[in-house]
Amino acid sequence: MRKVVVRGGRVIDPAADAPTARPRDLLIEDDRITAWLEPGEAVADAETIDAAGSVVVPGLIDAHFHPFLVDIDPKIPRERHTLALELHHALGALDAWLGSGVTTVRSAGAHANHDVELRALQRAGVVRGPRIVASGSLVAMTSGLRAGNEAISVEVTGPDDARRVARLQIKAGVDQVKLYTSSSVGGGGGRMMGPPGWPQLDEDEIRAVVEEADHAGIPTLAHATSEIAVKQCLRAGVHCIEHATRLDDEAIALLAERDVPIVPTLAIGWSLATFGVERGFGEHIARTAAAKQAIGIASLQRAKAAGVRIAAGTDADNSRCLLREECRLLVEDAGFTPLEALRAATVTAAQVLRREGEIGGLRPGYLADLLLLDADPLDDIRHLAHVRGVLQGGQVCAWRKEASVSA
Amino acid sequence: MSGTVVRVGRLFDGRDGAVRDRAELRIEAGRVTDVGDHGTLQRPGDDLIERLDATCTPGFLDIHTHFCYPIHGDFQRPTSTPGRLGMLTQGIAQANSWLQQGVTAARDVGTSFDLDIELAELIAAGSVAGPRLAPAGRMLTMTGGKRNAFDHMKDEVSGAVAARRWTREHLKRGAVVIKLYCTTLLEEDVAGYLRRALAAPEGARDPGRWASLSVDEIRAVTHEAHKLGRTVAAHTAPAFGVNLALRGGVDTVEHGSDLDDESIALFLETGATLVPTLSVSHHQIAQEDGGRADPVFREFSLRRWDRIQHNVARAFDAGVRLATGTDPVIPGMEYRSEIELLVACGLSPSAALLAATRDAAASLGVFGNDLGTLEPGKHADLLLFGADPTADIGAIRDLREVWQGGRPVPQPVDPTGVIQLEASHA
Repeated sequence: MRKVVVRGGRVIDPAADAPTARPRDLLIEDDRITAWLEPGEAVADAETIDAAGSVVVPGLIDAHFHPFLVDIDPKIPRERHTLALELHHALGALDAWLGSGVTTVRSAGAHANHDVELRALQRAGVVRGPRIVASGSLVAMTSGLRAGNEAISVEVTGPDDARRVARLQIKAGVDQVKLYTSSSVGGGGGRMMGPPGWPQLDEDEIRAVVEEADHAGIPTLAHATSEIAVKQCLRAGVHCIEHATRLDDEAIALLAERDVPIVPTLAIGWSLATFGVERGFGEHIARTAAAKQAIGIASLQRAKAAGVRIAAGTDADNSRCLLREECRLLVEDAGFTPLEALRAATVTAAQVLRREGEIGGLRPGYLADLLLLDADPLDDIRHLAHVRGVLQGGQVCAWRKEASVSA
Repeated sequence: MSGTVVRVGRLFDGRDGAVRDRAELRIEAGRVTDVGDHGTLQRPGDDLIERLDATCTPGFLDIHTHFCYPIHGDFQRPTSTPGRLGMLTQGIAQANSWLQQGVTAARDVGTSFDLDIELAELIAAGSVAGPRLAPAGRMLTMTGGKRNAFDHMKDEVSGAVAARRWTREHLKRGAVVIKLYCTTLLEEDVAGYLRRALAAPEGARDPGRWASLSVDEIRAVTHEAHKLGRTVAAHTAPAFGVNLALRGGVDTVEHGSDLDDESIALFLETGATLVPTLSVSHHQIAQEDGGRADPVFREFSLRRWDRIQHNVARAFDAGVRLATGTDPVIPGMEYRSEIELLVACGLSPSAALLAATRDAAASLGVFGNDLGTLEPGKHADLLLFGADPTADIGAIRDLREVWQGGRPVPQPVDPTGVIQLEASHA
C-alpha cells in the first residue's frame, strides 16, 4: 500500500459545520484519505508532499461541463469538425480543468456518447483529466435543437420513445440521463422560433425517462430555463435542474419542497457577455447573454433564500470560463459568501453527482482529491486562482515548481 | 531572411549512400537551402548549431504504419461507438513515439473510419507532434474481402468502374495514398491450409482458396491516383497476387512473403517498391510462444520469416527498390528494428539507410518530393546520431536529436503525466 502524508498545510473541510483553514496533516493510503493527523505526527513508510504555506481544499467538482464543446473556434462550422479535432480540444480542456483544481466533472452531454468512451479511456489510464461522470447524448424533443446542435441529442416523440432512448442510454453506460426540456433563447430546429424558454419535452415524456433512470438507480438532470419547463420537470421527478434562468414563486416552492438542487451556470453567461464578440458570436448574443444573466441571478438569489441547494457548474465553451469563475460570480454577482460558493463547488456538487461521502470533502474515507492554494479562499474567493498543486485519487496530477509571484 | 546552420561531424545526405566529413547544412523557413563544407554557409544573422561529434542523416520514413490500429483490444468495448476515441488517442501517442524515434514522415496504410486522415490534418496543423503523414483512410478490397461485418477498415467493390468511382470519392475524402487489400484468404480451416502450404513443394502455386482484385480493378485505381500524383500500396500475399498488383500498376507491394521470378521481373519493369515489413513478421515469431494449441501456426510463421528474408536478399540483389515499413499492429514494436533487420537480410548499412530515406520517399509520389534526402529545397527533417550508422548500424540506437521542418522536435508529451502549472500572480 502506498502511503502519503500531505504535510504543513492548513486544511478546509467544507463538509464541516463551520469550516476554517486549520493546521492539519492528511494521511493518504492509495487513493483515499484515511486519517487526519496532528501537524508533524510521524507515520512510518510514508512519502511526504510538502504543503507548507498552502491552504488545502477538496478538488473542485464542475457539475455542468461539456468536454467536447470547450475551445473549439465557433468560426469553424460544425460540419468541418473532425473527431480528431474534437478529441484534441477535449483533451486540452480536461487538462485546463484539472490544472485549475477541478478533479471531477459531470459531463452534461456529449454527441454519440463520446463522454462515456472518454471515461473508459480515463479508467484505462490512457488519458488524464477530471474524472468524468457521463450523460452521453441528451434526450430532446423531435426538432428541438437548433441546426448544428442536434448531433448532441437523440430526438424523441412520446413517452414510449423517450423510455426506449433512456433504456438505450442506460445500457450504453451513462452515469445519469440528461433531458433537454426548453429552448434557452427561443430557437428550435428548422424554422421553429418561440419565446425564450418555451417548453419542449412534455411532462409525460420526461416522466418516462425519470422512471427508467430510477429503475437503474441513476439520477436525471434537465436543461430547463423557464418556469413552465422547470415545473414540468419537478412534477415528473427530475433530480437536478440546470440553468434555471427563469423561476416563479411556484417553481421555487416546488424546488424547496422536493429538495431538488439547481446548477445556475453563471459562468457561461458571463463568458458570452465578456468574450462573446471576440469569440465570433456577434453583438446581439453578448447583449442577450448579459440580459439573461441578470434574470438568472435574480432567480438564483430567490431560490437560495428559499433554501434551495445550489451546485456550481460552468457549461463552459472556452478555457477562461473555469469553475473558479463560477465561484467568483456566485460571490461577487449573486452575493454568496466564499464558503457558500466553495460548498457549491464541492459538497453540493458531490450530492448532485450522488458521490457525497466520497468526493467534495477532506475527511477519512474520501477520495484524496486535493487542491493546494497559496491563500485562503474563504478570505477571498479569487484565491482559487492561485493553484500550487492538484492531487487526484492520491496522485499528484498538476504541480507548480516556482514560487508565486507577488505583483 | 536569417537561417540556421547545422554543422556536423559527418553527413549522410541520402543522395547516394556516401558519407562526407566536416559538412554543414543551411536551413531557412524549414527547408534546406545549401549543403557544404564546414565554415562555408553561414550568412550574417544566421544561428550556428555545432554538433561536431554527430553524424547527420535525413529523417526516416516509415511507409507502412497503422497508427490508429486498435492494438489494445479493451478500447473496443461495446459502447454505442466502436472505440474511435481510443483509436485516435492511440494514433496521437504512436505518432508522438514514432517521431521521437526519428520517423519524420510516414505513410498510414489503412485506418477504420478514415481516422488517419483526421490525424494527418492535426499533425499538419501543428496541434499534434508526429511524422508528416500520408494517410490512406479506409482500404479497398474485392467483394468478400472484409473479414466480418465489423471490419470498418475496408470497403468492397466488384468491377473496374466501381473501383474507379470509389477511388475518386476516396481521394475527395482526403486519402493521400490508396491502399488496396488485393488478396484475402477464404479458408475456414486456417490450420488445415497452413499444413497444405507447408507440405507444398518449393515453387508450387499457393494451395489456398483466395479472392483477389483483378488487374482491371487495380489498374482503374492506380490510374485515378496517378493523375493526382498520388500512389497506391498493395497488400498481397501469394506470388500470383503480387504479380496481378504489379501488372495493375501499384507503386508499392507490402509484405512480399511470396515472390517468384516473374514478380522480380515485374518489379524491375514497373519500378515498384517492395516494403517487406520485416518488423511485424519478426515481432510475431519473437512473440509467438506456442500459445496457440496447434504448432502449425508457429511452424508457418518461421517458414514465412525465412522466405521473407530470402525474398529481400533476392530482390535487393536484382535491383528492386526497397523501403522501410514496420506495420506496427502488435504492442511493443518500434521503428529502428526495420533498418536493423534489413541489414540482417544482407543489405549494407548504407543501403538500409537509403531504404529508410531516399527510396522510401521515392515510393510516395508528390508527397515524397520534398522528403528523403538533405539537399537544397527539401524539408529540413534530419537526425543526429552519436556515431556513424553507415560504419555500424548499431549507431541508430544512439539517436541524439530529431529535427523536423528545421527545428528540434519538442520533448515527448505524456498524456498521463503531471501537468506543469504556471506561476500565478498573487
